[in-house]
Amino acid sequence: MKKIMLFIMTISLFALPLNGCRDSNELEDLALVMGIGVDLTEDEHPLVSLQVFLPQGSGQSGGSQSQSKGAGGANQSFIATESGQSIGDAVNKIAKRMSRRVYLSHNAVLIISERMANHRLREVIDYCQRTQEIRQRTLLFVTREDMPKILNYESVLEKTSSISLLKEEEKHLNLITTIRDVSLMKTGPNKPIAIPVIKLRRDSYDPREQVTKIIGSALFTDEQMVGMMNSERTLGILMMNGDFRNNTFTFKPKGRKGKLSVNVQDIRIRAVPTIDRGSWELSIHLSGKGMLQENTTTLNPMNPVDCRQIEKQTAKYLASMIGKGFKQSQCVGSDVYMTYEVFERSYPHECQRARAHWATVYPNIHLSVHPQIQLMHSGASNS
Amino acid sequence: MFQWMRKMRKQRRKPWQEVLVDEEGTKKVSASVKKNKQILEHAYHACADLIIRSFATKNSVENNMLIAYLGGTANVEEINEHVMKGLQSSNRPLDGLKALEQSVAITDTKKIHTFNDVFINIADGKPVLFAEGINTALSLGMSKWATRAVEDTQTEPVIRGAKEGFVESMQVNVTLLRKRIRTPRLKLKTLVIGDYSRTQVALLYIDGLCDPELLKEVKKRINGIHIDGVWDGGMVQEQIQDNQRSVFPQILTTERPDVVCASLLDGKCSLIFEGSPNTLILPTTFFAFMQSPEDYYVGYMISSLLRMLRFGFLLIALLAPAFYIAIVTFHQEMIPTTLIMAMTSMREQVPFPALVEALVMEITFEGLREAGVRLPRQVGQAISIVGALVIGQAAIQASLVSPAMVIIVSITAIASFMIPHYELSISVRILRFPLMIIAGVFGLIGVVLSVIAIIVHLASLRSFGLPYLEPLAPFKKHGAGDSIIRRRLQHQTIRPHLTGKTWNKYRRWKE
Repeated sequence: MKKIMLFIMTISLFALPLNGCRDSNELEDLALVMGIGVDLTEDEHPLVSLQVFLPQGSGQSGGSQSQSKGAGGANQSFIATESGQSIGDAVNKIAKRMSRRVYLSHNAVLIISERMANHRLREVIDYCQRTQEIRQRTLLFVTREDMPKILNYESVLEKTSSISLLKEEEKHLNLITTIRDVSLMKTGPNKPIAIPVIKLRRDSYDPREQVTKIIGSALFTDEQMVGMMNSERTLGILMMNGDFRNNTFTFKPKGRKGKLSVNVQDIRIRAVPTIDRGSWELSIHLSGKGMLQENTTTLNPMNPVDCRQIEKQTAKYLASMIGKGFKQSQCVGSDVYMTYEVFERSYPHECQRARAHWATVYPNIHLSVHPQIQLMHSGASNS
Repeated sequence: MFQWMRKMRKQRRKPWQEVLVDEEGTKKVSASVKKNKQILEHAYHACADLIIRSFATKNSVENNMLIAYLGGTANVEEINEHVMKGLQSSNRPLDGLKALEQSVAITDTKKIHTFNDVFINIADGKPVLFAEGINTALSLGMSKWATRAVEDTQTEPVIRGAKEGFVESMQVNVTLLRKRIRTPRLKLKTLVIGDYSRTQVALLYIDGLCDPELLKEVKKRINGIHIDGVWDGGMVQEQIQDNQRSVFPQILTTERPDVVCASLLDGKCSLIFEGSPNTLILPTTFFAFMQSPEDYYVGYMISSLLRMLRFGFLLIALLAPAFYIAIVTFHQEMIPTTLIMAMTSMREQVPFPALVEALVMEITFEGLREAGVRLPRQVGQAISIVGALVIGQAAIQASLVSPAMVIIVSITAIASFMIPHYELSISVRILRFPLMIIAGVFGLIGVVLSVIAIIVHLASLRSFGLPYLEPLAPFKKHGAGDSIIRRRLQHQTIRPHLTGKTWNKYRRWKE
């Protein structure tokens, strides 16, 4: 008996300070935040919009109704907007007026307006990193669009706009930045950050069809937006960071009529940094596989000579794509390719010395790309 | 203090003879048939089923023989054929015990000197024969009790393997074992429990495999029981297991002769009760409750997989509702976003907190289950339909519970039926409820702490000295191959070492 009492006491002792009924939240008392938008008001105060999930009592009574509504694209969320001294203040104001507890743990995306991103990204990142409820895997986006509008648009395929944005992560076709990525990128000199930029597109064919499209990525230096890279060049960042899956590149081979579409996959990168008498050089050895998807040129992939030609042209195209993107990042001084890390591994002392004035070193790094693409699949037609 | 306790125990312990038998019991069998008859009639007054017949042998004038038995317990035809006929027509003079024995054409006879033994033998269904001039009675082993035929086991069915199960007769049950283990080393000792019922209990073991100390301990514990009557092994199990307060059973119960035989060969011993098809096997570990005899009859791969599956479902049966409550009330961040969206919509109209919802559903299910056992077969089906509708459909329609809860309850139910032995599934059913309440109060941390507490408790249990979690904690290399997985039989050559010094190491005949 004594033993049992001691046992129960021990359990209670351990459990009591940790958790308890007072911490319980029933599901129906939560306002699930699906997405957060951060904008600036006219008088430079943060304006926060929360996309809150609207539970429609499913089950029996509204079964048929909600279905018909769903087919018509009923909005499963609503937007709550409030401005405040800081982001936390604004969220708190929303929490005060909401009947349910604002629950940020299921927030999937955080959209930052361009005005906010231009100078005050730091506030957003700080809020995200400090607030316990916000997940490290929250996706970050920058947009030029009107803030509540981009959160409030009706996605045809998904339940809410934030979920359709969340699906971007699984496609592996674009650069995706999470709060965790930003925390890691921030450790580099000059704090280079790349965040995808989204735009709301209305499809002309079906007026209901609205999509958010990633049109490129915003480049940041010292937490200030310094430029924008287009979508294809962003793929270079993915390749260099090893996040590239596959993408179809379409280009015109030199000296030929027609176009080639090659799906490039299995990209492997070996970066060789060298510092030779003060000149920093980075040579990238890139190897990958290509699947020919469309060929309107006169090149015959069954012919070994033409096949080599296609491989060479694809490799050249990739090299120029990476080179252009790199050049652009050098122009704005945002080391989103993480070259500092690459150099640091081989030249720790030099990098330590260069860290303070990396803004002057980075634009002068000479990049040479040595791509090698192997055509795996030519298609059955040999014309 | 120990001395005092021992004294107390000695005082409490009375030999069963004293309790059962009145003053007649102490009397000796007399040489006079008339006197014996008087004593019998006095002891068995108001026992209409006692048959006393005095008769005379061929060359005697007076009734010089007396036979007594309880109607319905002895084989009447055989008595008539082999005893009466022989004695009444025999010309030989019955001038002594030897002559009497020889004139009775029966193998199983026993000499009896006191009336105490007379009563016992009559109660056992053995007719007792008295003769004039001989102060010794003969008990004739011709009992014949009404018993059920050997049938399929209803509670432990298998697809492959022997189908026959024990019946309510100890003798038949022992035969079923003798059929499987044909060696004189299979020993059987009878004990008697119950001051009034005088239930015979057979303690079975294999000489040379079973530890004598274990047998001594079993006998000691059984002799410590004081009870009017025993109708099933469960009544004894409760009183002889090591930790009587634990929810976990420490003695295995089975209706299957093959399970008993396998255990006997492992060096365990078994208790068979007269009048009950359930036998006890001891000592037992936790893993024995998670094993089905079929595991050894089908391939080692499928039985290993099935065992792992069983352990998985054991956890589900124990923890699924608790986890649901903990996650829904405390850790909503753990649920995938799409799921939580669906669940919020579902729970929107449910008026109760998740804990109440879960308790209501689980209690309803337990009620249904209990009702299902008690129901007459004819109405069983009707009730199960009502139950399914009440639990499944109507409760959701009435917004009393959410559909997710129904899934949890049903998967818990399925999981609890996957545990091969009923006693362990009872323990899991009992533990589920405190776990649910703890989950509702402390969340996942409470659940985890409770699981740790349960494991600590399991590790502290012993079954007749054998650690309850034996092949794994303490770890035994050769035993572990037959716990969560089952190794091939070729590799299971070493017999588990249970308790004591006797350990016949190899699973083969060794002199």
